[in-house]
Amino acid sequence: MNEKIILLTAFVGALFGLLALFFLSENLDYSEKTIEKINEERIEDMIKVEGQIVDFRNSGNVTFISLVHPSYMDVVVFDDIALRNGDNVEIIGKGEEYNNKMEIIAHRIRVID
Amino acid sequence: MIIEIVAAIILGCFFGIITGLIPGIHVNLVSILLISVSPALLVYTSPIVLAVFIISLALTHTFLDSIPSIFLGAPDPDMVLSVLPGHKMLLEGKGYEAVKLTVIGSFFCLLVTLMLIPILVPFLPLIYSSIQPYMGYILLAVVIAMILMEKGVKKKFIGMYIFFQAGMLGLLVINMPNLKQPLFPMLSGLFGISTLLLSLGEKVIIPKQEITSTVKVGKVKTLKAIIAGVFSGSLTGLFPGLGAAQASIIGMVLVGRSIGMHAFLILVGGINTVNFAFSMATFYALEKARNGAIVAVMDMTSKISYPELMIFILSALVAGCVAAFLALSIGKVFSKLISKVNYRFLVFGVISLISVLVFLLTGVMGFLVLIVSIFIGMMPALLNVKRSHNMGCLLLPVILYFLV
Repeated sequence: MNEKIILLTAFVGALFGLLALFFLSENLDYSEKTIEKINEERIEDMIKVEGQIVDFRNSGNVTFISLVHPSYMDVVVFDDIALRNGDNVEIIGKGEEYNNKMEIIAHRIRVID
Repeated sequence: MIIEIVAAIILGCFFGIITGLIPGIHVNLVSILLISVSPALLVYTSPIVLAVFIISLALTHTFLDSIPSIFLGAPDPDMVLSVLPGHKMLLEGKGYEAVKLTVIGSFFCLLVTLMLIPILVPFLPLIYSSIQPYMGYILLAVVIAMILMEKGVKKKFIGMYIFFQAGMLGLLVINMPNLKQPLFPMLSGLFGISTLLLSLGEKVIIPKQEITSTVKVGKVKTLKAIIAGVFSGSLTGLFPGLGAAQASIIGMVLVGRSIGMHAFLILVGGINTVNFAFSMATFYALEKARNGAIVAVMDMTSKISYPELMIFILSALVAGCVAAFLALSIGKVFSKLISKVNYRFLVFGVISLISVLVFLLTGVMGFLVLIVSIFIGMMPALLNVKRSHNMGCLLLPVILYFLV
């Protein structure tokens, strides 16, 4: 096998990969929503919310968070995580209706400035 | 986001060069470090970008770790079986060709795997639950086939003895309390330093290395090696307890001896890369991590969506393409330098480097494991049986994990 074939395939592959990444990453930025808007839109979509933690309760493997965003929003995390009241966080997850109330099931949380 | 992703790929490739070329610096080590600093990094970037960095690093590592294995006889755990054919080709002046063969395996197996992942993902839970109960028996069959491949009854018995001896060593070392990175001293002793010490007695002179643009290997053999590489590499990416080294044995038994040394290097290189690439699919479909790098990705991202999996696949494609170019370029540099170095001096240097790294990373206990492993590692060559029986150190514990 000629080395040129490997390098040419690698060049084409890298170019294709970068182009596809460009288009995919453009669409990956999750839209930021408020709790009211989640009610109106498709709840199974992944969404992103940012806000400040005003209440943080940890019960074993489930963590309950109340977020100000600017209205109040309940977030459930099926994990034991360490956060504090007052932390500004970005949450990516899905909306879910529980006891006639909308809440976010978080997939990913990160503390932001 | 694209700029952050491209930056993560470039940085990942850069760190992958370091971990790939320095024996003992494993991807897991960098992954653990990244997990510890991730809260600070996540203030500035998203978990997906950090995950892309780890994926690019781990993938580049799998392309480059054949270089120290071939030129220095200092293998990464995943590349132990490339030491002997690689070393043989080095002594024929074909070290670069050996590197190129592993790169062909890594690159083309990666392309096939990345194309297969989106198709296989919906069926992975079913495939996993169907094969999982029989995995121990499959591995047992592989071991029996490996022993039966020896010629003559006496050699078959010696092969079996070597397998169980290495297996006992593996069981002891893996279960040793307070021994971090148990595989590094054990595999360096069994396959690295033992080979180097034996070569010292043979008055080896490394000839001037040929740098050729083509490599002669039959199309059918290449195809066989790539198919076997993708199959066995995917198995290890799917099931716990299996690594690239065990997959090499499965692949070797699948394709048989007729494949030849060149195609075998394609197979070993391919398995090493597929093993990592496929673990991304396992992470998405089964939410399970099969290696340290994916543990780090899982720690940061928890769960990923299908578009995010596609981001990982495409990043792996770009990183793999860059890594192929890097591995060939760095392989050329090593080829030019290696014949200018005094071999005995080089061997002593590598043995000292590995010993120091073992001591620093694993302490006194790791150093003792290294010494014992060196003696056990020399036995197959002295008794004239295949060195792959020493893979019992990993195969026996895994078989027991599945069957007991």
